[in-house]
Amino acid sequence: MVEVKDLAITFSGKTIIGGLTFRLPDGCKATLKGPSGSGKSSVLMALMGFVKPSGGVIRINSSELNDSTIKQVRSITAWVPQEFGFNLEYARELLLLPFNFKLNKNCQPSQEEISGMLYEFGLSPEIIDKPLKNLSGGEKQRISLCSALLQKKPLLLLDEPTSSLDLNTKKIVTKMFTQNNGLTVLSASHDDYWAEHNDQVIDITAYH
Amino acid sequence: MDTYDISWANLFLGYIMLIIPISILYWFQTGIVRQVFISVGRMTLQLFLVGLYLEFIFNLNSMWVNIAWVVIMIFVATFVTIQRSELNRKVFFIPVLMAIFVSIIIIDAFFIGLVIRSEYFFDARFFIPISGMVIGNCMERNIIAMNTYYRSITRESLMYKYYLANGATRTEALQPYIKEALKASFNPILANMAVIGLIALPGVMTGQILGGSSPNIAVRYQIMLLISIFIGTMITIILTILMGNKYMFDDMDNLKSFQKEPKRNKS
Repeated sequence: MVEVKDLAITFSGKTIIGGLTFRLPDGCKATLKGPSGSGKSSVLMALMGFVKPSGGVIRINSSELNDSTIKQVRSITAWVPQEFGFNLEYARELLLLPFNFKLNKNCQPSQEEISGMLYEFGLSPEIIDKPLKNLSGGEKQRISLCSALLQKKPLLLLDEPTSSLDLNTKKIVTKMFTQNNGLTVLSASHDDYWAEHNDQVIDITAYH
Repeated sequence: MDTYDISWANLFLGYIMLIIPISILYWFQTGIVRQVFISVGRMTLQLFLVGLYLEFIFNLNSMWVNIAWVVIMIFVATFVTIQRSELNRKVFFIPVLMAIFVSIIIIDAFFIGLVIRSEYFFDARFFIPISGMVIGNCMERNIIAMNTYYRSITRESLMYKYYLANGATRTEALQPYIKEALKASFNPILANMAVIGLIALPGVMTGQILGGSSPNIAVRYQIMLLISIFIGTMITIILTILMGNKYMFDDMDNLKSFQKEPKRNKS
């Protein structure tokens, strides 16, 4: 599903990633591992077309990522960023935000689906009516992860998906993603527990 | 109603009356007395020059001269908008210019052609002041809109990317920022409309009443002007945003640098 060959990313003349190569078959769970600032998030950004690589090729579903394929690529992905500094008021808005877009209108989740998904992530269904400012970082993170899964996209890009979670919730979240066979997941993480449960761990520091 | 002239002697009396604020500013050692003299001097000189020029233009009342005057106003408004929004002139010159142009054509056609039904469309008496009022307001509101729009996309770039990466088209992803720009730009106009006449009489209306019009006519002119400004500003802002979007985003929907290029130091 995802093929990255000799990817290079340069910022202000400084190469932060060079020669990165990996391949994720359908259903594969892989994580980019490395310390903060090592370029993990930039690789995810490059896969979504937000960072222009200085070299190499990215292929998603056999199509090379470029200006003409970017819309198609974004239509099959869901991205969960590390930060949630969004200007939103309620948890419901965060959960259902992607369903405001025309592309996702036809996969609008039912109330049962929403409650079921929240329950599986260890959250009570009532949480969606709470103001976001009253939620912890971990709760907001799990709501965003729920939202990504509810979109039923085949490729998920997750940036530090367990960064705000304690060990128990980390186990729940890890299970939700790694045991979902139809899903291809590429994440950026420096969490050992998460990495251990992935099929592939790509050490980004080897490509500096 | 008649127009009462202000004699030169009475005008001079006005300057004498300035002794009151100047004395107070001097007494409190505000340090701005010199600035008062400069500002009053500039005001006097500029207004008399404009008066002379307008008198000449109004007497001439030539279609081409009047059009040229409005075109100059549009160009100046374009430069000021770009400069005060700190936008990249190369990119924004055409969108801002075209947006104001289209807006003025529509508003003048509506106001002069349809509402006033002036026999001579380019009559300096209507064409210049109406265009000027609309251009001035379009410029002020457009500066606020552009500042809000591009700065909020930059400030909330994570959110913008989140929209795109989760299925939004560029138009969908930009919608919240257009909404924010419109709100920032139109809230003051709406607030002003809501209290107009209660707190202070609007300038145009006051001017017309002092000029001898009946308050009834002055009110109708004021209403039409406010409506025209509202419509003209909306057209200008939306067109600037839509035309700017064509140049300001790359093929992967990333915002390019919208700010003016920094001056390079000569080494």
